[in-house]
This record gives sequence, structure tokens and C-alpha cells, in this order.
Amino acid sequence: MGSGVDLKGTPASPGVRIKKERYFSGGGRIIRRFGREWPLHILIVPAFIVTAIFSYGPMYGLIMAFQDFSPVRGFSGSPWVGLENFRWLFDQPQFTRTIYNTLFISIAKIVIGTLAAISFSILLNEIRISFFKRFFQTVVYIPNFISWIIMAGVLSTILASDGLVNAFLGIFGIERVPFLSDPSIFPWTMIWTDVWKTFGFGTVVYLATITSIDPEIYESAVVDGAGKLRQIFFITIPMMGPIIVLMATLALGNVLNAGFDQIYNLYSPVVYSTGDVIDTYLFRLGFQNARFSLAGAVGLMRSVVSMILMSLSLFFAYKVANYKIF
Amino acid sequence: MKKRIFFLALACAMLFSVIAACGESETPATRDFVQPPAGNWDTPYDTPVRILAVAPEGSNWYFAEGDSVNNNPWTRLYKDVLNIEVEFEWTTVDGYAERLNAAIVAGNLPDVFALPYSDVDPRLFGELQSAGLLLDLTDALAQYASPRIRNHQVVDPLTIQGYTVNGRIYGIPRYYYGQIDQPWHMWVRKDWYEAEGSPEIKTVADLENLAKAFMANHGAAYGIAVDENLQWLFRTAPMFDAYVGNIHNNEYFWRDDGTGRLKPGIAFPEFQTALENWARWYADGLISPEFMLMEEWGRGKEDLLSGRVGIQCWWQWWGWYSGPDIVAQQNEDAYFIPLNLPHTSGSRPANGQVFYPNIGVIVASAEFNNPAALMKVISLLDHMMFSPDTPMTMDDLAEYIEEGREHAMTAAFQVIDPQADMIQYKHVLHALETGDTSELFTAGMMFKYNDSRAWIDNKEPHGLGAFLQMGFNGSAYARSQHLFDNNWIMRTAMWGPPPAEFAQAGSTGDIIMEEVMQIIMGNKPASDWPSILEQWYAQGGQIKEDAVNQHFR
Repeated sequence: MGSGVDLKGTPASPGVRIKKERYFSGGGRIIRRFGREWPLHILIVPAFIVTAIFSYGPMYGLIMAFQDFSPVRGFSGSPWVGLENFRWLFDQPQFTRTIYNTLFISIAKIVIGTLAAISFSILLNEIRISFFKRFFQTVVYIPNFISWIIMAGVLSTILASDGLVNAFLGIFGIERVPFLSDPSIFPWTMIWTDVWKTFGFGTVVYLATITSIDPEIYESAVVDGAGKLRQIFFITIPMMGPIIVLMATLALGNVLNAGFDQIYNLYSPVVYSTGDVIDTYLFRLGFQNARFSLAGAVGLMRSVVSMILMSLSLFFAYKVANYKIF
Repeated sequence: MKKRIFFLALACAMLFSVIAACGESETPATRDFVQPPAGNWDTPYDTPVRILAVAPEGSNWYFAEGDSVNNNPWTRLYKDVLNIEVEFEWTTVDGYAERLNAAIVAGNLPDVFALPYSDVDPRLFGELQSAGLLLDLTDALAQYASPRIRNHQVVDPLTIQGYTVNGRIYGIPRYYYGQIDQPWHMWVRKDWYEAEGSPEIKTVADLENLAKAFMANHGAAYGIAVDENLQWLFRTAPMFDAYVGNIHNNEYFWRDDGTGRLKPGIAFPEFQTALENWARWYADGLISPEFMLMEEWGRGKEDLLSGRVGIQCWWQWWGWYSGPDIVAQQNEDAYFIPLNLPHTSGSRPANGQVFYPNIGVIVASAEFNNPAALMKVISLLDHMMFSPDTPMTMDDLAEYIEEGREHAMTAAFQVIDPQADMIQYKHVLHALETGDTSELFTAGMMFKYNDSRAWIDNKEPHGLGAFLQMGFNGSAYARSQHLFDNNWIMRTAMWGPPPAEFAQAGSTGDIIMEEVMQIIMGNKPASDWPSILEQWYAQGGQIKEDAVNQHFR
């Protein structure tokens, strides 16, 4: 190894010799490192096996999207139908509207949720008394831990026609608002309640970013005569840029997941036109009507679109913000 | 060294315990074919026979200390009487269908299993049969089942047809407790109703006036309870001569349109009349503006218990559904009592709707070797639960059916007498009226009688269920019997599981639910119904109608 002799034993040119030296010496390093670190590599094996079994193994089942699947006939015996399941789905007017509903609700949740979290974290950062700062941070974070099952029960009560919110609006002479039964209002109810429930998490992340900004930058800005607003727009927000991009990118990969738990527990047929999303439709179709192949087709389509969106967002994050996750 | 000795000792202990456990069974049972004994259904096998089953139950089973799912009064009974060892490979309440599907995909079918109509896709029976995975039970049923079990085919010849292919029987229907439990009634809150002078409810207008009186005089927030699935509302349709059930279960209520063609209830003009009336109810405030969020076991029930509504169209078992809760939360006269649904004519009650009531089917794997044993177990269970010839005292029976334990008599083997509740109702009512309990011959009768007495004598809330179902002359079964006696009954023509073709139809239920809600809320006029119906037909309704006509006409 590294003797300047090629594999056949004949003398090699100096350039070739250098490359081979690097190759063999690099390989040697890897082998030596592995020799030292093999227990650590063994530690990762269970995680690798679990991921292979539970994340990659079930992907085999995706073939049912191209079959007329029946549990009795199994994967091997069910007849192949090509893209028939996809064609059938797109022939259904209910399905095509769920795509629009999903995108609308999901994107609105991402945009409004991100803006809300950024704004609140900036406001929170301006609070100087640490008790109040922690108090408000906790208050907005707590709803994040409550499941949508429970939250749906609470919301359907306080948003009812004779619920707390309408009673409050009534004080100001505002007419009763059918938050959960008017198709034009329902998507916004989903968006705002989701933002209210989840923006606390974003707030914590953004607040951590803001606190890590070097105070000397603000001090310099103050010396240059920058007021609070200018500091926010020209220091705080630009410095938060990479994290905002990261959070938005991660959220974008989930754009076809408009919030099954939330919507399933709060919607009803009367708001299907604007509130029925891919997941709720999929649930009714696949599980309640036992149409496994169609459910598989929707699931596959959703995964492919999510992967494309995620890749695009990663690409643009790198191009626009010079930010790389991987 | 100490560790090694410890592990050696542990291994020895395990080995001994395994050997000891093996020694407990004197003669191991077999799953191989065993020649059934000559004689009646209750003649025991000479050689122990083993049946491996699965069951859609379990979490609600109760066992005495030391008992288990595979060792309890019922399994001991099979062993003692028939020399048959029943073993459950697994039991589960939630996810039974998924687990069964997994067993099917893995080619690991148990000997015997049930296909409950409510949990398992009803098309599964046809798929299993056509794939050759089910055992032909025709001969075993004819030779080894008790006369009582075989007689069910005489009482209800149609139900078993659903599980007969080319004249061969591949499944034993589990049947039902009697068609008497099918018609729904209008349940009204007793104390409010009596405070209004117990008016006779003969017409729809009478019912509406009662609902308004409850709102005006008793603090009800709205008049008539409606749930998110619209089932409570759809079951009021017979008042307008319309018929429809739970759309999600494909209960469209199929009947002849007069030309020999079977059509769903929603396709008859009377359904549009019902829609117009329901929209009027909503506009008049008789229906809650949040009806689309009323879960049957959630807000919908809470409104009943909290006094926000005093009228509900529901099953005959309302007393179990809400009886004890409302008595606890309101007062002992706040429970609801059943009235027959009024009819627009006012001259008679509305017809009682009877849907396909069979609750499932018992099947056996094609590789199962002892179908005679299955028939014997089914017959023994029936004998214990429903036969007037059960040679057991009430105390003996209590051993098997005390709180919760009756469920260990599993769906995998239980065939219900399709006349059970009709017979039970007459015997229990007779005993309550005369005090003569000598004719209470089944465990069910005993419990219904005792529970009714508990309410009548001591106002014990747990007794309300039985009392309201059959314990007095105005009970739900009394109301149903009145309908049956006068032939005011309408049966669906789809007397069997939905045909396999239903799977090809689209989201037909979604269309109905969405559009009916829009009409009720006044967002669309009821006159739009014919065009909505066209949409329903275009998106799969036609497939369903053709299939029903092909299989059930």
C-alpha cells in the first residue's frame, strides 16, 4: 500500500501513484476508524432495522394503488388495473374539490401561522419583565399539547350558535356567526383555530433565534439612529431568515396534510364543499367504504406530490436564502 | 459464576414448568378429522376435538378469578357436554376487520370465525367463498345441528339464502332478536309530556305542537333531536310515507316503485315531501342549528340529558341508551317514553320500517376438519340461551350469564333465535302483569323481568332499559307489536348484505348527506331534489339500483 507500484506490480506514473496512495490510505483510514468505532455503528443498526421494517417495508403495499386489491386475493392474486384507480378518482367531482380545499386550507395555515409566530415572538422579545415573558410564552404554547379530539369538543361548544363567542359578539350587536356550518366561513374557522393552537411552537423557535442575535448589532443600530421598527425590519427579521426558511420548508412538505384530526372532528356534510380535504375524503372512501386500492392511490399521489414540493422548497431555500438542510 | 448458576436454575425451572403444563392435559384434543358420534346433537365426541376460533369481542368480557378467555364456564361447558375444546387464537373489539384481513392475507384463517355485519365489509363473505376459502356447511347443518337451529330456516327462509351458493350453505346466519326490535318510535320526555296533559299524537301537526309546547313551557332549546348522521331524522320519514335509513350503511330502503323495479327510498316523491317538512322544522327552530355536530353518543345525547330537547326518534333500547343518565341528572320522571310515529293522515300510525336485521354470519375455514363439532357448539349455545327445554335452574344459568360473562358466549358460535324478543316480550309482560314467573324459561327473560321489577318496585335506574323496552303496555315492544298486528310494517326489499357491485359506486352517501343538509338548512330548495337525484344516479346510484334489482327482485 502506498508503495508506488500499481495493482499489477508495474511501476506507475507519479500522478497515478499519488491518487492510489490517497485511495488506499483513505480506505485504510475508514477501516481503521471503523475498527475503533464499530460499537457506535452497531448502535445504529436497530434504528436502521426499525426504519427498514416500518417505513420502507410497508411501501410494498403501494402496489395496491395499481390493483383491484382484495384481502382475500392478496397482493399477488389481485388483478392489475394500471392507472384505473387514479382515473376513477379524478372523475369524482368530490375528489377534485378536495385538492383545492386542501391546498387552500394548508397554505393559509402555513402563511398565517408563520406570520403569527414571527410577530408574536418579536413582540414577546420586547417584554422586559422576564416573568411576563415566560408567562405569555407558556400560555400560547399550552394549546399545542391538547389533542384535536378534546379541542374539537371545546371549539364546537364555544363556537356554537349559542356559544361563548357568539354570545360575546351579540353584546356588540353582531349577528350570530355559523362558524362550523357555513361553507364560506368553515375553512377560515379551521385556519384560525389551527393557527391559535399551533403558533406557540413557532413562537418558541423564533424567540430562541431572536435571543441568539448578537446584542452588539442592535447597539450599533441604535448608535446609527435606528428606532425599534427599523431594528425589527433590518436586523431581527433578516437574522431570522434561515430559520423562517427552514420552518417554511418543513411545513411545505406537509402541504397536502391540511389537518385530518382537526377537520374530521369539526366538519360535517354541510361544509363538504369547502372543508372536505384529501385526508377526510380518503378516510371515508378507504376505511368506511373499504376501498383499499383507491385509498392507496390517493396516498401514493399525496406522497409523490409532497416529495416534489419538499424537493422544490429545498432547492429554492438554497437558491434564495443560501440555506441547506441536508 | 453466580450468574451462570442463576441462569441455569432459571432454565431448569422453565423446562419443568413446560413439562408440568404438558402433563395437565390428559388426552390432547385434535384438529384432525374425528368421526362425529351417532345420536343427537348433544352426544359428546369420544375423542376430544379442538376448534380454533377468533372473536370480535373481548374487552367487555368479565371472568371470575382464575378464569380466562380459554378457560371459563362456557369453554368448560363445551368440554364437559360435548368433549370439544374451544380455543380462541385472538379476540379483539376494535380492529377486528383489519386483523381478520391480515389473517386472510397471511393465509392463516382460524377454524371458525364470525363476519359481523356491522364491523366487516359484507362483501367479504362472497370473496372468501368464491376464492374457495370457506367450508361447505350444508351437510353438517342438516345432520348435526339441533332441530331448533335448523328451524330458523323455516321461520326466516330468506336470510340463509344470502349465504347459499349454488344450493350449498357456506355460512350460518347469526340472525337477530326478532323483527319486533326494528321499528323506531318517537320517544318523548315523560314529565313534560304529562305536564302537557299527555295529548294524543296522531298527526305530524300534533307532534310539532308538542315540540313547540316543550320549548315554550319547559325550557327546551329546540323541539326534535337530530343527529349528525341524520339517522334520527331519516327514521321520521315514514310519517310522510317516505322510507330511508342510515345512508352510510347503504340503508336506502329499497322497494317496488309499482312497475316491478326496485328503487331506493330517496327516489320516491314522498321523500321530497319529507325534505320540505324537515326544512320547515329547521326554519321554525324545531331542529337545532347545530344538528350537523350532534354525535349520537356525544352532544346529541348531552342535549337530551340536559333538558335541551324532549323528543327523539330512536330505537327500542332507549332506556339503556339514556335512561339511567337522565334519571340521575334530571329527576325520576324525566325519562322518555315511546309513542308510535304519527302519520300525516292522522288515521293510523306511520308504518314501522324493517331493515335487513341479520347481524352477521358464522363461517369455517375450508381446511377445518370438524364442521359437526361447530354445529354441536352452536346448538349447545342456543339450547342454553333460548330453548324452553334447558334443564337448568335460574341459579345455574346465572353462573353463565352474570354481569358481562354472557358475552363470553361468543359471536363466533352464537346463533340468535330470530323470534327471541317476540317470545320474551310476551312472557315477561305476562309475568309482570300476573306475578306468575313460572313461564320465564330463558336467562334473557329472567333478566328482563328482574330489571323491570327493579324499576317498578324500587325505581332502580338500571331497570329502565328492560322496563321501557317490554315492561308495560306502553313499552316500545308493545308499540311495535301494535304495528305488526295491524300489518303497518314496511320491509326493505334488499334482504341481504349489499351486493358486491356496490363497491364500484362512488361516494353516493356523501352526495345525499351533503345535499339533504343544504336543503334542510334552507340553502337549497327541496324542489332541487330531482336534479340531485340525477347526480346521485350518475355517480354510482345507478350501479347500486341495477345490482339490487339483479340480486333481490
